[in-house]
Amino acid sequence: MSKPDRSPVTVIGGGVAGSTAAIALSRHGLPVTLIDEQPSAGGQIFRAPSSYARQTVPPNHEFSGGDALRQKLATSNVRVRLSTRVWGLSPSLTLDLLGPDGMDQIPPSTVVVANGATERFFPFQGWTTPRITGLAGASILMRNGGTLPGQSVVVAGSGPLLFSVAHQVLEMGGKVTAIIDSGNRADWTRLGAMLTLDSSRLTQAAAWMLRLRKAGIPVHHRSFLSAAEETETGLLLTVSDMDHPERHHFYTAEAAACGYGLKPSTLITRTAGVQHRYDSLGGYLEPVTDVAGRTSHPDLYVTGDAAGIRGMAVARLRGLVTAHAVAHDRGLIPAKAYASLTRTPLRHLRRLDAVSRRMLPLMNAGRTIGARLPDDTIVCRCERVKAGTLRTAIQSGAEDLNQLKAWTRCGMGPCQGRMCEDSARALLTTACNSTPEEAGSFTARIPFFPLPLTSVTGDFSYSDIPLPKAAPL
Amino acid sequence: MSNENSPITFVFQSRSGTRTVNGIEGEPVTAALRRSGILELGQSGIDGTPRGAFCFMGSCQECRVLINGAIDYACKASVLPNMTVTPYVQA
Repeated sequence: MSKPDRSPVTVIGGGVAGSTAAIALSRHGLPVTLIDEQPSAGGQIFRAPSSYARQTVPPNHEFSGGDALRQKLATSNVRVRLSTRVWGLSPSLTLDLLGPDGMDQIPPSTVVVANGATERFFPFQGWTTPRITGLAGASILMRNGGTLPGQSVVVAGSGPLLFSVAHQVLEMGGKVTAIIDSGNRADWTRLGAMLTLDSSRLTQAAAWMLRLRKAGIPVHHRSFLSAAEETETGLLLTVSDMDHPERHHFYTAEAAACGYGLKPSTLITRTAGVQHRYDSLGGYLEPVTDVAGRTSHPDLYVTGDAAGIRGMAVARLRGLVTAHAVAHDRGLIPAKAYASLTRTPLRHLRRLDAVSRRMLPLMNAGRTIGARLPDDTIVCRCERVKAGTLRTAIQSGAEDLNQLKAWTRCGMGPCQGRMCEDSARALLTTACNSTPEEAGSFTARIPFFPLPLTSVTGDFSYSDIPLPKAAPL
Repeated sequence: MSNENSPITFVFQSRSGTRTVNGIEGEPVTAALRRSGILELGQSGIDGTPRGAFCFMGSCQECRVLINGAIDYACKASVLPNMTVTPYVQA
């Protein structure tokens, strides 16, 4: 075994995967810094509730699990940097940060990317009204903010989050007006059978479904939200049938939450230049990793949902295995110790991974919606680019996402295309009869989010520029 | 030391006037605003239509407001006593 390498490790993202990895890495004796953009660790699932939310939301697994994770972090040797965002990185993995004390840099280190998932959206008429939020967003507003999106809520999209959010609305005393699922009932039944392999998820799912059924909430499968119109008291929502677009239902509600499954956040890994692939089952781009999160860059690992959406239980196991792999690759533990440390986690990982992969098609059940958007629907929220504009550009010869972006400004706004990329890609691949790989992705750009100019310049002002005295004429 | 749990008030100043908003110190600004019925956090710089918090995780950039004059995310920033929140319009 070569000499152990005890140089620092940086973990990006303090969710389940990142926190678990950071704690395990520090137990291997490595100096670990964990960076998270939120004021407390926990990620999205274990987002720390505000004191108001602790009073208004009934105790739940996410609160207790998150508190336990934050307690573990607090008693570990991990250096936790909160309210801190990574806004850029170099090929040698220097990280650019913006935190409470302004700009900072972390020199090249081993980086474990655990920045989780982003929600996938498909637009509809009126989806930019402030009464519409993402599905994950509605969950964060309720669980972290203790506040309902509205007294009555239509929940729309695909995947298990639909039922989770509907359940949360009921739990807080709100009314779920309807659940609009783009998946079909038979797929859910098949998934239910598969869940016998994952007893904790089965128990939770059964509890949700029972409560939702008791509340008598209408559920539309193979349907999607096609329009939202502001009324004096809320929204008038149009629900359309995926297979018979002329069939509609109408609902009124104070708010609607919509989301079409999750996809890995890849801005950091794409900027690092590691190899990615398109997962057709999930309908998203993911970094190519081995089971321990190793990538094509020797110092960059990806763990948790950032390596492909598998949910919380898998994220925890992945975080653990990645930490042991880093320790092994650094020469801190021999192959035998690595094998014995990872034997049990890997066994659970394989079992749960099979269940989670079965969920991907249900999360991606809305995949045909993007291609069928009416011309006057806004696709790019930031730049207000409509589907018709994109179609015209495609007809004029735009063949990949970056051409489409350059010609129309779609994806050029401050969100960097996070909200519109999936629908732009769907429009493109349908019109060109091309593959998602051919359509590509919007090029990842630094900074990953808009930086206030003052954070770049500091206290610097015009009068600080040293001007040499002009030479006499 | 911040006083979590304390009910406090802050000011929301928009084109429809100035409002005093009740909140709990330390909670996300969007949550307090929403309970007061304030969903519009600004307007699109392109077409002027209302804009509000959408993703709640720092991706969509739609909840950006000015807090005491500095740009911040309303979904993440904490409610503090006597703060002034104003809409932000991306140029």
